[in-house]
Amino acid sequence: MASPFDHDSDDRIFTPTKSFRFSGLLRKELREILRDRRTVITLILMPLLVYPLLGVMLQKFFLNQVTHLSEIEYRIVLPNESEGQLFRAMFSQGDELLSAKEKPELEVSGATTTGATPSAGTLAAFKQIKPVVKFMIADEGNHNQSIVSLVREGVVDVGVRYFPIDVTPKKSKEKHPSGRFQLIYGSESGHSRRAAEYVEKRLQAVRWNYRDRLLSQLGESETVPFLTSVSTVKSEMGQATSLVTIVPLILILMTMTGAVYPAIDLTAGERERGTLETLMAAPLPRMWILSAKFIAVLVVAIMTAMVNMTAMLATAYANGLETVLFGEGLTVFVLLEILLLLVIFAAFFSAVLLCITSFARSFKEAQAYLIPLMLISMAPGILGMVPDLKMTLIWAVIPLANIVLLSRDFLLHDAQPLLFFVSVFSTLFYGIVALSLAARIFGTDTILYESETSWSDFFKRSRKTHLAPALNNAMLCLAVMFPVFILSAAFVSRLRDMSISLRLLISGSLTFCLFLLIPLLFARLGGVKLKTGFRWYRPGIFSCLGAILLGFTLWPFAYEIEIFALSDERIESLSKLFESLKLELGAVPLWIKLVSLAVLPAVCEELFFRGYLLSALLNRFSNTWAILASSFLFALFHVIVRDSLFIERFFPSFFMGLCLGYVNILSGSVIPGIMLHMIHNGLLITIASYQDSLSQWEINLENQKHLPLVWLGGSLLMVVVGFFLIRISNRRQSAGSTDLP
Amino acid sequence: MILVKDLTRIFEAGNQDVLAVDHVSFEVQPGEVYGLLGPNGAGKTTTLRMILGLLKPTSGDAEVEGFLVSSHPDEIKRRVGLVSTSAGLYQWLTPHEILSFFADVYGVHPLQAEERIEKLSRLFDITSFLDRRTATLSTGQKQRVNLARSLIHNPPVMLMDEPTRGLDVVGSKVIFDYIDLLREEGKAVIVCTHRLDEAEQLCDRFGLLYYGKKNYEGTLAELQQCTSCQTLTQIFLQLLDAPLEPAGILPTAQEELI
Repeated sequence: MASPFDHDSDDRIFTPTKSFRFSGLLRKELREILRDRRTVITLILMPLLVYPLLGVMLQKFFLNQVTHLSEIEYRIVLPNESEGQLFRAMFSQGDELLSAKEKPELEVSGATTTGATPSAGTLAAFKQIKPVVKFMIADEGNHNQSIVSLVREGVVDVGVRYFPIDVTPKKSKEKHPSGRFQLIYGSESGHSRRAAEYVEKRLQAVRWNYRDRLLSQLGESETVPFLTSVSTVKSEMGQATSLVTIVPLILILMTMTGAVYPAIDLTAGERERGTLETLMAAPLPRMWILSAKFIAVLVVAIMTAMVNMTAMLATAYANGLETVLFGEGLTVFVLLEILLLLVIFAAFFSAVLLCITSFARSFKEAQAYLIPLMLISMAPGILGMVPDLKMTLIWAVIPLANIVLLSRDFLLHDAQPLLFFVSVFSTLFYGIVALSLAARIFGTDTILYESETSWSDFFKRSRKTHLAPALNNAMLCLAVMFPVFILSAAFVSRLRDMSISLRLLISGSLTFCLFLLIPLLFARLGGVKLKTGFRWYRPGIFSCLGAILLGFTLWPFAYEIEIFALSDERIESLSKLFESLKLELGAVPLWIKLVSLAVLPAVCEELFFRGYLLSALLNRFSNTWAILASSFLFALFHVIVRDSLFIERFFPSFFMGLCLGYVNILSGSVIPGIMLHMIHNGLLITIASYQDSLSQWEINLENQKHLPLVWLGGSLLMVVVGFFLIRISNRRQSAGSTDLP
Repeated sequence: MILVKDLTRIFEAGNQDVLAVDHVSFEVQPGEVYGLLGPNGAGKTTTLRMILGLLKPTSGDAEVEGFLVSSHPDEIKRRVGLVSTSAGLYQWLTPHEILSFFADVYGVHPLQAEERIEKLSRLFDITSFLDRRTATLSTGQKQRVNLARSLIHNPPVMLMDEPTRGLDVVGSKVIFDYIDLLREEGKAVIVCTHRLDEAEQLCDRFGLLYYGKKNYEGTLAELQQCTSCQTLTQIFLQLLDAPLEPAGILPTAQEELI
């Protein structure tokens, strides 16, 4: 055989970019799944067949109702021809009077006996139903008896008897023929009762019309004791029971249908076909393989859901049912809203299904795992339809239930920003957790070769010691922290009855547990060396001096950024809020405030965000990207305060995150950052506590929006000096021997 | 080139621990074809998987071109090709797409990849069905695509697990030619097989595994001299008759060298 590598240029010169290799992987996954006939069947054939069929059924159901309604027939029996004629004349007159009155709403049909036909939209038809009224004459002979028995037997709905009365008006002294119609209906039959009401309404109209005419002849038509008018408000009960609440359930069904097959096929299926071993033998990080598979599943899930949605909406539209689903009809805005929700659902299910199918060694096993999940997922889907179920912070962190309730509120235009934010982010983090778990399991020898040893290993401590945490370990930690953080915020906000000092201490302890104990647990599981993993190195003396200086001088900039991000109205509402807080906080001893708001947050947050998280990020990304990412996450956690969302806190927190991150990278240690953070927070708290004394010195921050330029200039100078000191310290340390890694 | 040091793997089977591979050590040089032989369940495939980093060893380590599998699994994977009968192909992709995909993931330059696909296609005679869906190919055709796939990144080391299992004479001939090619290209090759007749023709040196332990190692001539048997099959049968841990085991070739 001739060598295939003759004249081959040296292959080791080429170092492909990560994106190049990843796109190759993604291309393969997409090709594989989109060419699969079974995908095509779920993607196209299902919606094409199911929805028109469902549409026909729905239409039949609704039209049946409408037809049923349109064919509502009120059978009225009259005693004899002459009385019948009189009654019919009165009835027609009443009907015309009512029709004229309700003209804008009702299509007037000429004759009372014909009734209206359902017009264009089904829902419209619902509103415009006019019953067909049929008159008949009772048998000659014993009229009264036969009328009663006809009603009793249900042969007719209303029986009419006529009792002539001779009335002698006081003025004319002349006898005036009049009479009384007696309406007889079956007390047990709703239909019969409605028929009687229908007839009575028309007869009443004639009576009132007659009376009005008389009054106007007397010139007293204006003398009415009172007038009434009716107006409507949006009812909360009505909203919760709106048909739109079914949309989350439909979204669950649609995205799950789309994601199930590709999730199984790309994991368990690949193993069964024997291609997984070759794939795992390639130099690809497991997270890449999983991410490519995730994107492929997500694409198919979104496509399936979109095809389903299109087919469903087209069916609904064709049958005139869109207003039943969406009050205002199908607007582009509604479509965009649904699309957004669809992506959230699809992403969630793709991650969760991939995680579960990664455990499976065969198609069958995967199916066995997924069936319970599908059934369990239906339950939160129904939550959306539970009336009066309010979305709360706790609901917002419960997987799936959060996006179901979010979808409901979102479509009803009733979603609160905080809950929206928390739901979306917690779902995002759950997705990350699922993918990280999947990456831990997928392609391991347990799954690949059915060895029994490693099943328990997933949750065992890593045998190897790592200097820095792996990125997915840190992300998993973050994903656990986020819902716990939300829950603890909800917990603290419930402790209103306690004294503020106690609440502050509890909040401080929760910060400690959250930002320190959880990362420590993950560090232990991941076998991360604490000193290097949390960047706990001895800093240079100049680094500390620089950090202290920055702690005193960075706040004016954070303050200005916050002011810049705020509108005037928001400042006003916030100052009112702070005013009330200040009164409460005034009573708290300074040391409690310093411990719970400065020392604990500084130590714990720094150890997590600039210690554990940053070292994981530095493992994978450049300094700049690592600082940006950690600052973003740091700011994200600062946006939520107890049970409210303070978007404006994002910018100053992000700014502080950047400064702290930079100080950390420059000094190579987390300790200067802790000092900076502690002084920064402590300074602000102390200023707030001694504001009264300060105002005597003519320093009053409340009355002016911006800080004096001199302050800013001075601070800037000090900030530059601070960073310079840290830089010098770093150089000195690098030159001499250090304990940096 | 390949250095296997005290590789051990213990599997848990119910409440029992099964020693699948027991302190196996050997070395393979470039241009050498090493046959890892043994009956079913001897631990051949497990050893191969541990070298490639697909299975974690309970103890011991493997080294390829100076990289340890325990510390640099990706560097090892970059340098190793795998041919396994159990390895399937993506049925919805064409051979061309499969070869391109593996070229991408192994980081072969796109232009070089095309060049190689062309050469390998000619070499393995797969040009005519390069753009047909893999599901429609015959077993022999699939096998040739798989061989081309294993060489797309021109690895210095090739691991082959039962390469001739389920193949007819023509298919086996393709494998023989392929191994000759690998030898000519100076690649270090490990072939796991229980087909001793084939191994005799294919391999330069042998390691005989029995219950996870390497009992014999050497060239055919060395083994013949040590066991006074003529063929590998006879040597093997003698091994099977021997007690589980035979007293006075022959020193391995490697130990002799030391």
